[in-house]
Amino acid sequence: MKRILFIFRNPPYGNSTSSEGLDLLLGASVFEFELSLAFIDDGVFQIKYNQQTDPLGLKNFSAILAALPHYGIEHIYVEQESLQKRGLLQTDLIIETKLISAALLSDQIISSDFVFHF
Amino acid sequence: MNFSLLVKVAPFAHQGSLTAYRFCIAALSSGHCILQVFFYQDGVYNASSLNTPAGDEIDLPMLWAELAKIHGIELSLCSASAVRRGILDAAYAEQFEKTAHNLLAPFKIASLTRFFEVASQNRLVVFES
Repeated sequence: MKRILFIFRNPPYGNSTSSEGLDLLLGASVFEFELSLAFIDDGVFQIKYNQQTDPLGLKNFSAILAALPHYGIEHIYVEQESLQKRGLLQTDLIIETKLISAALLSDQIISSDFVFHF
Repeated sequence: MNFSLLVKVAPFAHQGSLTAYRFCIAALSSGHCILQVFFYQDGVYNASSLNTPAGDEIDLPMLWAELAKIHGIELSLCSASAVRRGILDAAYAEQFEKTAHNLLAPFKIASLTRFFEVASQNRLVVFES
């Protein structure tokens, strides 16, 4: 079984990168892949509670992110320094995540067959 | 070795598409196979038949089309990426009641399923900047 790692490093809005990364992840989820997802840098904002997109006139895709455990995503990581630097705690996040250090994340990258960055 | 490519950037604004094309040329001339080039996000602009570069600039969509015809490479676009950016084939133009379509042959509009079917059997190289 192929091991695929997605790394989301951009904030949720402001450009389409994050939502199109999520589209690719959902596309992969219909296959028998072992899928992992890591939020790093400003990507951690994608899973912050209480996103209000109505004033922007943009579609709020955080509900889809909240449902990711139901899409067969095996591991959902948050890089701990990225979270700390932005003053966030795991309890501020809409999904259950595993904290991971940058060093351990690099091990995950090495052991994956494919890595997608968004 | 068999390769799949994923191209995520537009042909003129970024070098990534040209690098991907040059990667294909180098791989093919070394005896490797390119099975699929999949265009995602702004990469779909590589498939517009309306790209009109200045006379002394590279016409990358035409180069892709020639390469695909000679070597039998599948050039596929993510359908969601393409229609959002106004890259439509005749069927999508009819479905969405548009007055024109602009997909250059032999590019095809495909699904993410198609991408993963092919890519998961090969080496995948992503071009994104």
